[in-house]
Amino acid sequence: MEMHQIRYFLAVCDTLNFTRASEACNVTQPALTRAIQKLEEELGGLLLRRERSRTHLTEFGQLMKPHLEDVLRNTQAATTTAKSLLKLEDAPLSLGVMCTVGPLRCVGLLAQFRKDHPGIEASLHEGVPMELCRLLIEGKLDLAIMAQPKGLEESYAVEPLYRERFVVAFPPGHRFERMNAVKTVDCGGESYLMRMNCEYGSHWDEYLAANKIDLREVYRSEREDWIQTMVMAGMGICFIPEFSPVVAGLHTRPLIEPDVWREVSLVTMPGRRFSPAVAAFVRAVRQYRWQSSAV
Amino acid sequence: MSLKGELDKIRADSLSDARIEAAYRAVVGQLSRAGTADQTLKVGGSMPPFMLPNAAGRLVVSDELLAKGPLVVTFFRGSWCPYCQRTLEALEEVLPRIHAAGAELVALTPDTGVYLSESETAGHPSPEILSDVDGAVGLQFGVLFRAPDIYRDLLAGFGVDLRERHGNEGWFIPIPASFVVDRTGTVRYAFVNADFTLRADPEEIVQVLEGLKSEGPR
Repeated sequence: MEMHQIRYFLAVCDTLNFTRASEACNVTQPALTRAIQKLEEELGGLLLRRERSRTHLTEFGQLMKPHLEDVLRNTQAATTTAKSLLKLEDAPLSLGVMCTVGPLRCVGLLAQFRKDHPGIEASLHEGVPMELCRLLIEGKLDLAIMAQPKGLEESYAVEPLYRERFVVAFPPGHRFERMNAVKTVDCGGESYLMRMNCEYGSHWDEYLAANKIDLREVYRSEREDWIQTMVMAGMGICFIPEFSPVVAGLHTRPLIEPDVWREVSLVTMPGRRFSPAVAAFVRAVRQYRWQSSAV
Repeated sequence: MSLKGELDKIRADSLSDARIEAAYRAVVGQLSRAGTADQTLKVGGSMPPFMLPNAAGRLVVSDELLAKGPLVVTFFRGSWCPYCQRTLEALEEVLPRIHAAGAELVALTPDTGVYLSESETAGHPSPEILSDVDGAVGLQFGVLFRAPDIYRDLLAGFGVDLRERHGNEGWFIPIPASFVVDRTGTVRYAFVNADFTLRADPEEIVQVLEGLKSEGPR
């Protein structure tokens, strides 16, 4: 498959008209038609049905469209974000991201920012909230995306971005699979894997004690991927923000009674003047459609 | 035994099963008819930059690797593929020589998450394995294609569900091609074959890298 074939096909999906699609793609119509026929050969089925007055997507075309959109979108994300990280040193914009924020959540923002501001280079720094705060104070970070359970001191400027629910993660086949949501009390007796970098780490201990939940802690790790891999291996369950899972196949259910939420915010230092690059990024963060957990 | 000898042996063993042989012919036939292998990134072309997660979830940036030296980019289908596993082992064997030539090696697969770690050999200086999520980079190299129905059914019979492994329902897999890219990002060697049982010779890759080293810094 080639990128231009997918682009042409998606243009026809948008316009349902070969002439307009070829205009939109700036190619001749025979070239567009040939490319789509080639794509159909490669995918092993007809994507479009051409009738005299209208062009329709076949059932197969409808099936393939979202997948082709995904691959093309990710192609752009993989390339643009790579370019945006070209110069790690003396980048005009340095951004901190809390390590428990799922990486894929920021890629969309970075890709969009890169597209809108191709000239601005950004560096990413991953860390726990305390470290990010220190780097902010020292001026080594311009801004940070993070959460803090007890709220940050007044010396920081905090703008909420999205709210995220904590869920319980477990392997396929676990008894929780049959529940729509898991009550805290239902977790009693389970083996437990502790995410050490969770900014709510110390709170979980208090929370479990307050709710009289008896868990057997089997392992703790600073690495989100290890914890999730251990959960998949059937070694225990963990509590994790809804958008953080990176390991395929991991099952989750909302944790209820009581619910636990975190609020992820944009954190900057008040009074510090933003460079044009930082100001542009702050605007982009505010405009980005952050998705919150469903209530 | 050479890698080629071992791959030939795997092929001879597995193609004696009529079902496997039919599925194999379907894949090779589809790719040959569509001329997929002729449309891939060529020697002299520019490698598209990429940023992809490794098995630990860390993002690896191609330009950072190129800043250090030449890069070998190899695509493989997943830990479910015996040819890919043997090829990765063979590449691992020559990894010290790749490093000695000042180069790095990354192996890209559409597998995600926990399936990525399955390809790593514990305790070895394994090649860096990256998750090419949704085949996005494979598409830019021109190596991505959709597995034909008969091949999907065969995999299902072995309990391999690419939807689960890839996190999407596209059934896209790469031609297991290998590329050597110099520090300027220009492709200097490419091995692409519609027949997935044929792979780049690791010895040949090392020789290309040693040749690049003798060219000196550019």
